[in-house]
Amino acid sequence: MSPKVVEIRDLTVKYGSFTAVEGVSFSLGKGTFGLLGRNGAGKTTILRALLGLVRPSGGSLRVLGLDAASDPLAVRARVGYLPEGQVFFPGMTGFQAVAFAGRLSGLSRRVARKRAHEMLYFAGLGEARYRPMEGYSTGMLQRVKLAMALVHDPPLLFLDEPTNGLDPAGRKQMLERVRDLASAKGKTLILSSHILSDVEAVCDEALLLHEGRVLERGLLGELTSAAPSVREVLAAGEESSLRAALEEQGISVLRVERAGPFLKFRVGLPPGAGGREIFLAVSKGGGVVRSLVEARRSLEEVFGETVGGEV
Amino acid sequence: MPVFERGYLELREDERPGRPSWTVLPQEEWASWLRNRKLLILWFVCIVPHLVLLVRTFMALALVGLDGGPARGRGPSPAFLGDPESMAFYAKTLLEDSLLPVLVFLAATAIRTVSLDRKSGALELYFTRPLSPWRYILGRWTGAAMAAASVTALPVLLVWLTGALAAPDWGFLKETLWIPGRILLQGAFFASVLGICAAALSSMSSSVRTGQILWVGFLAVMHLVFSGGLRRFLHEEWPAQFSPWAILQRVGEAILGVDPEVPLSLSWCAALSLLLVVLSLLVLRRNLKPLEVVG
Repeated sequence: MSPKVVEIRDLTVKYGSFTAVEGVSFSLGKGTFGLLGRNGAGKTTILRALLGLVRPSGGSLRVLGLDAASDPLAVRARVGYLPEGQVFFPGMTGFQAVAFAGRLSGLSRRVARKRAHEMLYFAGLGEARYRPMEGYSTGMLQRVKLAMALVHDPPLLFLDEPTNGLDPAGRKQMLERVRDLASAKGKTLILSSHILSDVEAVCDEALLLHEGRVLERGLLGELTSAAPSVREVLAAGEESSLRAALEEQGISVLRVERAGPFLKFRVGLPPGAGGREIFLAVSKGGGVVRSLVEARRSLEEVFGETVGGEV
Repeated sequence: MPVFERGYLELREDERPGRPSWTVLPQEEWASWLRNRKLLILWFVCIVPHLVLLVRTFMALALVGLDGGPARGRGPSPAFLGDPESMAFYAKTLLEDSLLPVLVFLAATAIRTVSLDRKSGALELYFTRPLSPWRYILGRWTGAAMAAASVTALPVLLVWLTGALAAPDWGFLKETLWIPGRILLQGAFFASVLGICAAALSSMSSSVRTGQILWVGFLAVMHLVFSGGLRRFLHEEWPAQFSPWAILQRVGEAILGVDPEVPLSLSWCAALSLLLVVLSLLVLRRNLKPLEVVG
């Protein structure tokens, strides 16, 4: 069993009379984790509490074996944090800001400058690194913030909404790089996002947060797997006849949607039935099965089902 | 292989971070000021009183070299030039002529710093690094104090040094060797009190303009109203103790060993200076609480 990288027990954080996080407990080993929830769910508060920026009203937090409440500076020295929002060092270029962040983390001037170049290239910011940060777009700022989070080569990364403000190509690139950090370089990564597809693209495990509480936790595969008797059938044919033939076999049609020239059925099998019954029913309805797979739920569906309402 | 093709690179063992130091803050602050050409021009404008002092030093030394001074009625009088071997010669520039330079130069430098850090969200970037709020305060205090010293004591020390080097013999150095130590002490006192006050006022708002208005009110308006207007109008000395500059001036005079301009109690002024420092520290710490972001 891998040692715990993050351990939270009964964490409660209050801002005045408002409770932002209540009774949250979880522990994480090495890997990639997603904190998933709507705005105001408590994701940022948990990250800030782990960095010792927010004093918890109750509970305990340990990061890399260190107590985050009593030894926050040691925790921050070992963690790279990409904060949410438009934050930057005023009056500096991207390059100066990353080098400065490195020096604040204890790097020597020479190493900080060398490292700033390397990390800005890695983050995908080219010659723009010599321009003042005041003129940066949100996407460019995100890249600089990623470089700042990585400049001191921390083993643990907290990324708070890392794809905010990035165009689709930039978003894909950012997620690929983040994923690469975990898979190729062995970094442990906690990604907080309200964009479910970002978490799906990067993380192995996710925590669903709602109104300051953990609703569900699990491997993404487990979270998104549907009931074992549910299948997804891609078929060619007439919708009404196929539906009638399936129902005649005792197979319940849960959902039908068009997928290009085909129909995508989500069906529930009766006890004892299998793929054979589906093939027979579709054939009887005058159609052809193009594919048959075990159904999976998207994270959106999981979230919607757990929390209720729109995601 | 070019760096952009190498992907993510890990730090080598000999490159690993050492113990983080707060001194990075004033270093970076000063580097950014030195990169700013307008600020360098402003600094030259602010040290005009010191340049005048330098010219007076040269002229006074030239008169000494003239073996008894110029012929009667010709050239500047020795009374106007003053005596570079006495502390009174430097004290006026340090204690009276420095008000305007300090006011202007710190408004353009130190007063902007914390305000801009708040406005740009940089405080969050600082406090997610291994930097505690107190170390941040120490860094900003040092930066502001250096800014204050750069338009008060440091140029005066350079004037003294230039005088010592330009003097015709070692007599000047022997006679004035005690002066730089006192100037340094007075400069450190002025710079540290003014520096922490500037940083505290800067932290009170994320608007630079508001910080500058507060600074002018704190230093210039209070001095004009209490030490200038009210004191003269009432023919009493007590209103001067409400002017921070007059308080610093009184302690500065004692450090330099010159006659006091305003006869306020020295121990009272020292206590008020200490109170200013403590209050400023508390204000700064209070205004640097991490932002409460719910998310």
